[in-house]
Amino acid sequence: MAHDPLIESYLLRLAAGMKGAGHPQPLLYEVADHLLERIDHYTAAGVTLETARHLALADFGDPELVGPGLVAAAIRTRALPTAFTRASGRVGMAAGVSLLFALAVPAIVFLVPTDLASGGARNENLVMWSFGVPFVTSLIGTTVLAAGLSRRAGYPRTGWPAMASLGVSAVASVLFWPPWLWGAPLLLGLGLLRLLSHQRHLTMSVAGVALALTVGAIEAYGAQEWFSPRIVVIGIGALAFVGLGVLLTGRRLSSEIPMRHPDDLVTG
Amino acid sequence: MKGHLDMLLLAVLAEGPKHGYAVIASLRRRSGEVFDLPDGTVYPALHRLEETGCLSSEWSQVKGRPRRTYRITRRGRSALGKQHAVWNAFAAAVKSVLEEVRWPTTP
Repeated sequence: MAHDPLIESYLLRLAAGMKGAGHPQPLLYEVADHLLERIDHYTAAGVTLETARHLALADFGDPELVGPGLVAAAIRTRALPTAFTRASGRVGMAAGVSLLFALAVPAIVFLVPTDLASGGARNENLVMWSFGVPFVTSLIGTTVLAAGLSRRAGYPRTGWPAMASLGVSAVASVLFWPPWLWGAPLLLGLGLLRLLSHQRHLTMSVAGVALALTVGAIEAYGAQEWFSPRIVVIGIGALAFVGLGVLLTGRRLSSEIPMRHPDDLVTG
Repeated sequence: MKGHLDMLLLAVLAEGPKHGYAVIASLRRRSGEVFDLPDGTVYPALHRLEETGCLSSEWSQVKGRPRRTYRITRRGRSALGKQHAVWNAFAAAVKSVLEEVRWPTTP
């Protein structure tokens, strides 16, 4: 975008009206695009460029009056998709597939009559590796996806709520063993409240995690047999939801075109 | 106009995906230049509709700058259908009342 002092000055006044309100930057890109389209329209109609600029700004309205109306939108607006968020979406897709693949092993061993599980130490190792490797891979991939989602939601950002949520996440990750099991859901939690309305596939993962944790807590409280067929079926079902949710969320995130941030636009 | 803006925006976007400027231009054109709102007042409504799930948006790069394009969702079409029905009933009722009034002939 070419430097246009008049438009930049207008956008800065608009940004001043939205100070402290979430993410004004994407809104300012949107307004800038609108103003430039309006200027093109006027100049195509034979108006001089200077007049077209003034007319476009007048059409949009006084920034001191329009700005407050955009504050609510700025609070809810997410950050723009970037190359990182797209890459994290691709990693997330792989993580979802990896988790679903990992679940196939216990599903076959526990649910289908087979001697794989009772075939000695060699078979047990085979089962553990064929489950363990894709499961750990999916956890790492989900953490990367979570980082991408958090970035898309606008984190990390300054201000005490963000710092507090990061602090709580860090403390919780240390307190609840094993940390790698809790790290991904906690990272997801950073952007979750804002993302649920946009990333509806994510609710599947949340429902799966909630189901798995609830069943786990009930069974632990009742000192039930951990690997009873009932628990295995519920656990596999819950984790399949998580895997599907991660896969679809990653697909959605990876489909967004990364935006190049024009440096010459508003920096305020 | 107030209270009907959401319905009008949904109706314009029911034609197909549009960016903010195109939405405003289409609204103006389809209303025969009657709905000439300050441009800045339309964006909060678009964002509110997205927040309620009636619209979705995606970013693209056009002419070297980021552009946000809005698209009506299934929920948006459903909401538009309901609002349209309410509007039709309201307009029919108003018309019915006005038709019984004897209007003075204009010179």
